[in-house]
Amino acid sequence: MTTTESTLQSRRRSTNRDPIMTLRDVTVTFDMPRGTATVLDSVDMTIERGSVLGVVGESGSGKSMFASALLDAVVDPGVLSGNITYYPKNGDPVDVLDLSEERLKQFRCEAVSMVFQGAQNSFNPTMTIRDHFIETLRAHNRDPETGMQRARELLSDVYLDPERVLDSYPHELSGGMQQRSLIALSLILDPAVLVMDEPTAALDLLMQRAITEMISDLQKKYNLTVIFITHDLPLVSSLADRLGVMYAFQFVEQGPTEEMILNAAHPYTRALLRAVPNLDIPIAEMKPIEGDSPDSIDVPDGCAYHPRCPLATDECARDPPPFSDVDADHVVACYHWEQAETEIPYSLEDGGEE
Amino acid sequence: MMSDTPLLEVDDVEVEFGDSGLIRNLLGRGDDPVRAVDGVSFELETNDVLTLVGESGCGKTTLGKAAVGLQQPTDGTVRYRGQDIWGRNDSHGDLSQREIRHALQIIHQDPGSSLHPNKTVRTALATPLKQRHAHLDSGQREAATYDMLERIGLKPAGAYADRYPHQLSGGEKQRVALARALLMSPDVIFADEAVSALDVSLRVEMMDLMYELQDIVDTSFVFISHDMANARYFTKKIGGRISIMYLGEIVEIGPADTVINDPEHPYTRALQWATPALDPRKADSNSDNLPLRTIDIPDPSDPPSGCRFHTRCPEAREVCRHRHPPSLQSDDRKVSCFRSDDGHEYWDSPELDEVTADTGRVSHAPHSND
Repeated sequence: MTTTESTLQSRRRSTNRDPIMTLRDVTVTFDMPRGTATVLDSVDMTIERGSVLGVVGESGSGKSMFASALLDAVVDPGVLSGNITYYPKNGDPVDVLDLSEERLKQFRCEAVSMVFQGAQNSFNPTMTIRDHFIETLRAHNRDPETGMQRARELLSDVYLDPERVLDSYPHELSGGMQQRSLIALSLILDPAVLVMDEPTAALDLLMQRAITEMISDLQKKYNLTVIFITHDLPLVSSLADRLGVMYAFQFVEQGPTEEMILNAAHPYTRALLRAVPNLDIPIAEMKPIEGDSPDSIDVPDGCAYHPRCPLATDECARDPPPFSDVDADHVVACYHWEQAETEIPYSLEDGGEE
Repeated sequence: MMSDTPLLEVDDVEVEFGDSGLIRNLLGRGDDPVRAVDGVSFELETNDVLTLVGESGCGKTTLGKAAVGLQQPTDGTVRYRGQDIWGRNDSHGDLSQREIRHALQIIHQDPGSSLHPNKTVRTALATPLKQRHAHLDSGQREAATYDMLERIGLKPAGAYADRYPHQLSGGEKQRVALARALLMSPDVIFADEAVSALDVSLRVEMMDLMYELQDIVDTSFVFISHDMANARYFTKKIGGRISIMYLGEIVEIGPADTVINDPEHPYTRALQWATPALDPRKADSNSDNLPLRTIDIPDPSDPPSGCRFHTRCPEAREVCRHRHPPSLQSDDRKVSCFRSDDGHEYWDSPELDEVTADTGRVSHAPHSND
């Protein structure tokens, strides 16, 4: 019942929009000796063409699994179910979970491309950066000549000297240069969607910020749809048009970024905003979240957050809350969201006086 | 005399790494020595914190290690309670090397690799107790271990005591590492990115714990963070100072609010710019303009002449290329930049725009050259 309700809502909202991907009731389970682990739980999501979606969650909240699901790339023996549809600019909608092996391979680079954290693991250490581009172009039957022209442009887009970088082996580049090369490589086949899982983790502060600026520029230049997955809420807040917050393998709140940060409705989102060190919230208001995140095998009944939630009632422990509208475009899965503002206060007012 | 002596005094310390080995040197392939720390001084009082902030390769870890006696400086001195910790046996001083070693402890960034995988929490915590409090019998040791586990929030203590590191979460491992260091009753703990590997939502909790336990054991911290938000939180809570490092030098040092909210050095300003604002209204106002000429850091083995930051500094002028700025006291902070000296010849020096020639905007930033 929860699912239908929210599906209806998303449908209603998306009527005058242009979705590029929709997920309906997407679930991933793993059979383990201890029981069945549900690592993505009935996720519904509409991703608008040309927008940047920030997906925020702690380790083990299911955010990386969400990324894998978008590309139907869940590792064995995980079972992915539900419905994922990709809407190309021209042509018929594509049922992603129904693609043949061959078509799926094509889909993963040409339609939806993925950048993982830790670039050094994504490159083959025995090949130059040029070889990586050429190999990718050949595998997808593209003309190497025009392809390499695009490669040079993409490398310039991420502030690298193409001639120098193309002839380098991965180990000859710094971490930040590797990660930028990987972003360029991920765009070589002109995908419409770029999925990035913690693309700036393990990089220095200045490089992190420079890369988020580059992503923002690339997004505009190539009209990309970007899905940026991170545990670092402040990092995406300047980049994303919309934010989705994950807790215990589900989205608990979604909305426009500014709305979500200034006016968070879910008790977990509010607690997270207070718990994340940043320069905007007075230090006296920063507080850790009590308790621990649940295990995928043993998610609490009802609302998964209820054991840690100061607003929890019997109802929360019994039935999972459906999505409620906070605003036209802002939904939250909580029975008591209207009390969250007074019960879990935070302010962005002082601390970072500028 | 003792009362005026700082707890820890780092005096003009220099650490150079350079010996590439005999064979490489014979072949003429010896690398240039890298001066990881170059003439750094600071003092630490009881219950104090000094936070070191900077990019990778700026020498903050080397400096922290030198401060707690894990890295011998190639020049300069480190004094603990007035005594040179690298002084030879015949040097005067009442403290033995062993006492000094016990007083100075470290917590690493990765708690997984600092805990022995085959030792239970109980065993890991018994080692410092045996060393530091040899008079305790096993019953008293157990009581002390349980007490510490409860204090660091690992309850019930009995259940946690028999766990191995792989049975603990990242946050729990880091708390055990902290407990182990604290049981040495140290005067100084060097916390090297001790919260960086934790989930953002656990960082405040860990820093709060370090703050609360400081009260009980009277420990000072040398705290490293590459993240301004963590640095601000921890430093402000304890009431210490933040120092910004660039290529082996401290370029700005002062109280947390002064350095973070009102940075004076152009490099500190760049770090402040890079710290993501949570408030999207603020994020809009300071986006785009990269306050640097280049994103990539110069090779530390061949640091730029004059002010080391001049190759990336948007404010650099001709004089910065030739002259090294001294550390200038300005109110409650020290800054190494000519701009903090109103009468300096810097202000009449021509602008430097041909070094890497560009406006400093991200959209025009020159190619990296590191």
